[in-house]
Amino acid sequence: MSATQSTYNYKVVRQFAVMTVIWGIVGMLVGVIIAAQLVWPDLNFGPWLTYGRLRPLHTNAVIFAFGGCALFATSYYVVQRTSHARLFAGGLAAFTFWGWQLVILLAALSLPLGFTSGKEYAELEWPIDILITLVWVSYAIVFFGTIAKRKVSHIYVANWFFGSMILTVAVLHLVNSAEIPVFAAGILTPKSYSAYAGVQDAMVQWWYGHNAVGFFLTTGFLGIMYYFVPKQAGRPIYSYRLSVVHFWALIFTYMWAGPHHLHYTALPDWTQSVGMIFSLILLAPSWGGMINGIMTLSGAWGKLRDDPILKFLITSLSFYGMSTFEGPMMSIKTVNALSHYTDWTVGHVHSGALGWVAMITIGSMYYLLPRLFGKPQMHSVKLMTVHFWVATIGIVLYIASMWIAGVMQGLMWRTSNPDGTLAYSFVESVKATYPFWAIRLVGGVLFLSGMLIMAYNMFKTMAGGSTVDAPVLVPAGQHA
Amino acid sequence: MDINDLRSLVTVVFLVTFLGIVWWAYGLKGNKKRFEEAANLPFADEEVDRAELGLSSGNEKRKIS
Repeated sequence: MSATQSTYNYKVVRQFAVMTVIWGIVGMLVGVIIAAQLVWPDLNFGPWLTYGRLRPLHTNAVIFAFGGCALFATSYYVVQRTSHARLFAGGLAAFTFWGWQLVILLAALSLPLGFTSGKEYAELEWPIDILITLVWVSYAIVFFGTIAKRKVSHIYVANWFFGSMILTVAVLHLVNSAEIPVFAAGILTPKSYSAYAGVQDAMVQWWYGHNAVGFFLTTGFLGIMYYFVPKQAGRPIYSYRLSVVHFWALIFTYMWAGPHHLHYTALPDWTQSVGMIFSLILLAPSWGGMINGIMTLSGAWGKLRDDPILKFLITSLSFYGMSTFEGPMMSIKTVNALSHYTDWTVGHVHSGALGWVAMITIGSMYYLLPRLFGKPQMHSVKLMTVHFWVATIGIVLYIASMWIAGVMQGLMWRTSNPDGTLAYSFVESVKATYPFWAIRLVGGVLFLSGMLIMAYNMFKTMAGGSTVDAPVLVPAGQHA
Repeated sequence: MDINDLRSLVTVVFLVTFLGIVWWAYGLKGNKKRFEEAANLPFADEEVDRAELGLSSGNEKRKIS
């Protein structure tokens, strides 16, 4: 290739794509370990490897390491390809990779050591919070800088979704991490005190928490959907207009759904009701996205039969539709009275996290990996299909067992004797849950095995070490 | 003006803005073409797809191991 020919920056995409698989395995392994600890409490090796310290490590690793790397990889790829421009500020892009890996390493060290600010999904202490801010601002500069230098007039809808994710997560992180930074006992013991108190702190936390679901885990991954589903199906998205409308509907409604995490707490009743109403409204834009993705395949369903990438992508949309139906239902106060604090919530989260986020990530990585390493396809297409079925069976075992366990726990906790005393002690509900925790562990092990199969397939595909950076071509008839 | 009037007003402005977006997407005939154009953006560079899959015969280095 001639030296003057500009190429896309695939290096950073390649790095993030490979780390997506690696961190996926790490994060899910920690998940399997804590699932095993619930079945065999003797597996708590303390204090560093106890459930209480490993659980935030699991959530941080799967959301921010696995999910985060997937978002970086896909958004950097998609924004370059749909803008027909090489990534803006290559040095800064490299910084986002190494900076993000450093954040992950610091999390993996500090959480088992017991450093936590106590805010769910925002446990990391303030020095790491500052590093996250630096990386994220760089990410925004790289992403929006690339859009600014695009060679086509339109900004493709996937980039709208990625862009909203980047902007919103910046706001969420800054507001929820507003804290008084101190050193408890010397420079190695950072400690954060939230800038908010009482129920305000709880509300800010769950405004953050739910919008992390809404923007990090939903709009970001919808960005993946809007590029990779049409590409793999070989046809444009079912309805571009629908994508515009459901994008803005998501933006306008997600922000208000947070209070449903605080039903029947000290949060004012009207705020709880607002949260519930907006959660119910969310069903419409969520299903708009699902329908748009699945209907893209309309008339070409046969492709699903022998294309494992499409299997992953379309199944992820089915799980997305399922969990965005379940979520609004669980936000109804009377349903929440039964479901809250039970394993039903855990089941719901994993139908979204494994079914939607992980499945669409896996599908997009199987699309990307051969292209990033100059191969016509993955080393083994058969192993991709095996991965699909192992993962799907794993998810079904996981969420079905957690549904049953959750409803059972909720019913046991609310059952009372004629004299008003509780019919069951808490530990009785724990005992009754054991078999379901065992089934959940099997589901988790299956899903993790799928990731190991994927890693083998990935390294085989990478073997030979060829890397291709595709040339930037401006499409005919387009002008800036 | 009370701060609560402002809060109500913002909600109304948001709703009207959203309805405006729906009208812009579905109501305006002239937009049909631009949406079609945008929807086809991922398919504007199939040559690049061939290049990255190692299938191109042009000046791209062929690399299949």
